[in-house]
Amino acid sequence: MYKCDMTESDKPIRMFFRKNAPVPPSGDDGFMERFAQAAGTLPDEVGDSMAVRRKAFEKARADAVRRMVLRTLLSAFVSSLAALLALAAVSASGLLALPGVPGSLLLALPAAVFLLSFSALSASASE
Amino acid sequence: MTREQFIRQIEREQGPLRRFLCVLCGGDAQRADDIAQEALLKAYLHYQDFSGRSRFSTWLFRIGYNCFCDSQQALRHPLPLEHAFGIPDEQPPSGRHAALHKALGCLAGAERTVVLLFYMEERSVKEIESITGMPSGTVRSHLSRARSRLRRILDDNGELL
Repeated sequence: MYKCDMTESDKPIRMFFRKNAPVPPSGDDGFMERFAQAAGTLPDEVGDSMAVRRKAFEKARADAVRRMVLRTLLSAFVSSLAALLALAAVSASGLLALPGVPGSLLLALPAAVFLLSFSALSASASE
Repeated sequence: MTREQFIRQIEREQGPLRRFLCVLCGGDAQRADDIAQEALLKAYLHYQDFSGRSRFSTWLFRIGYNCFCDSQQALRHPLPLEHAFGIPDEQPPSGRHAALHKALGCLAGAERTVVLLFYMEERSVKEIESITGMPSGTVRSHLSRARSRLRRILDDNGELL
């Protein structure tokens, strides 16, 4: 347990600081004039323009993320469609006949990816 | 907060902030004022973001302390306190201030900050937590360690008599 509150043993240190700490400068030494000069070099609307820039940056970032998601969905859609068509063709020709595996099961995976990416793409497009 | 309110607050708070930074910089008033100017400009650029959840002075001290930390990182090897006295200054630290800087020079950086805020600026632990970003337990432990070290140093120098 640390003793941080004002105690009897704390008082001498407090007294030491009261006696030895420098008095806060008044600002009459040109400090405030220097600040006014430095601040004067900034346009009044600098705060506003910074907020506008920040908002624009956030919007651009959100757009970039959205574009990336769309690209990923589109590529999943196209590749699953291609896989689905290829498998359907192979299955129809009877070349793909694994013993004990129904042809429809082989088509199920690309069909599921196709359907999922298609529904996600439609949802994104409707936003 | 309007621009006029901000300027009024700054006029009131610049003294304590500069004093805090000056002692934190080991008496180097010029460096402290450079840091204070940077802090005030940052505050000026963001005063519209000040939500009023803390006191204005706590907010300003936090910016000042962050600027001090950045400046320390830029220096990489902070000057020992004795070197600060070698720098020509308009107002070299007086004997009394030298005693203060000497005592604080024996403390680690975080302890020095916490002690200055607690004893010199008379801030509460909660405010120190807000200014430095340290959890209150850390503030208390720094304060406790710094207090016993400070007492020993001041006792040895006969300052507490």
